[in-house]
Amino acid sequence: MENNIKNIIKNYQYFELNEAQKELISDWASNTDEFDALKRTFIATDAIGEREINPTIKQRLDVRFAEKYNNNRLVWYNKLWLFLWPNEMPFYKRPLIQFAAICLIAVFTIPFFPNLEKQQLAMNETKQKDSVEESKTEEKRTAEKSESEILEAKEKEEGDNQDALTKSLEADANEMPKELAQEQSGWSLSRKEDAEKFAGSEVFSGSIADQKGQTTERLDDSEPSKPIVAEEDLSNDYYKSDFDATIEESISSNRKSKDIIEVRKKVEVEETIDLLSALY
Amino acid sequence: MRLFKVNYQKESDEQLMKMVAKGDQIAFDEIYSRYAAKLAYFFTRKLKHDKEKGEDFIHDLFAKLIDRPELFDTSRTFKTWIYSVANNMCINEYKKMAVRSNTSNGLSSEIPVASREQSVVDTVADKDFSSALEEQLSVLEEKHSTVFCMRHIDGLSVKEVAEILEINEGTVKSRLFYATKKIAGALQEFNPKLTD
Repeated sequence: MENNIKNIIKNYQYFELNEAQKELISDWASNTDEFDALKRTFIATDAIGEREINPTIKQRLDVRFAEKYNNNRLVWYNKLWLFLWPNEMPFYKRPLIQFAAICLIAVFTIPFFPNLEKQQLAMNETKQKDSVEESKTEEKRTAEKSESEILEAKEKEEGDNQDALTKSLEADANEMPKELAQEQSGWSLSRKEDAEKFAGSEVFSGSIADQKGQTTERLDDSEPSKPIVAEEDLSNDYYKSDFDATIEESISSNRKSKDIIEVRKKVEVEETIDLLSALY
Repeated sequence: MRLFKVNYQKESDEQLMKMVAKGDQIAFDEIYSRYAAKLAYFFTRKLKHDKEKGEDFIHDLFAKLIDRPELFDTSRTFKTWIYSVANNMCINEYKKMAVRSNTSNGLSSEIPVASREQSVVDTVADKDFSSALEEQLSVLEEKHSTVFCMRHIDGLSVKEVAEILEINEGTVKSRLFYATKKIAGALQEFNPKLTD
């Protein structure tokens, strides 16, 4: 019997059924009496079906259950007990006694530890934290210092390089006038000798103007020494002042890059060559 | 290991049986509370209303569960399995009783305990409808009353009944139809309209 038929019979009266339901239950109940008999039967089956059982059955089963499954637990306990308290060992060698002795020793010795109060200085943890922070700050400082030292060293190196350059430049500058002066003096001496020669002849007189027109030479009979002075001015004042300016410029531009200095150096050499070529 | 407390009432029968196998007493109590009363009625009915014997059978059945929970076939539902075991216990008991009585039909299930007319008269006269129903069940043949009780009293489905009794579902349906019609027809005499 399907559940829906059973539910229809249990929950409805025969006159409440529609044609479809009546057709559905037609095999089971074709009239009201059969329908009511089935209804009472099914309602009655819900009421019966369970019977009270003697509680002693459950008690006996519980005992049986406990006997079976508690025995397993006793085995486990027994194993532990046999490990802790083996009968074949002497009393003082039994693990339970030894564990108890260790515990007693620990209990009685812990209060006498001298570092107990210090251990309470768990405040030290904060100090340790501070020390850790200090160490971190020191590390930072040292790192900064090292960086600054590196920078200073770099600056020093740069300064030294610049000083060395300036010194070398100055040395070059000091050396260059002497050579030039020597050359100049050689030139002037030769000119002096020529002038003296020409002065002795008293024939030649005239003026020479250089390319820049700054200097004039007069070779007269009455004033033979003036051109020499002019030559000296040319050799000393003009070139010397020019070189001084270049040296000053080079010193002042010491702080600038090497390339600029080298370029300037090249320019000076070129200028001097031009001047020398012009003079010759 | 379970993290939360087990709600035994919501657990399935099969899960409870696994717990029983691990020695869980509460799981066993839950199984007992679910099936003991129904099986007690089943045994009592099958054993010709011998209440004491029915209780003994209940004890034996649950003792088997305790002693050998591994006997539970996990491929089947617990309900059909335990009813199968109960049914087999009853069949074995029938055989023993047959041997003791030395008769082939002495305590056969096919022999009614009381005559139909007498029971109906007694029922109408003295007892309520439920007792009349029980008497009608006892009058029925064993195979019909068993199917009827399993389907309508124990609440098993046709398929489960067929599985327990190891018969076809069609057979179960036909037996059920016959038993229902017969009981209902017999209890028409108990109709209040007629008695009034």
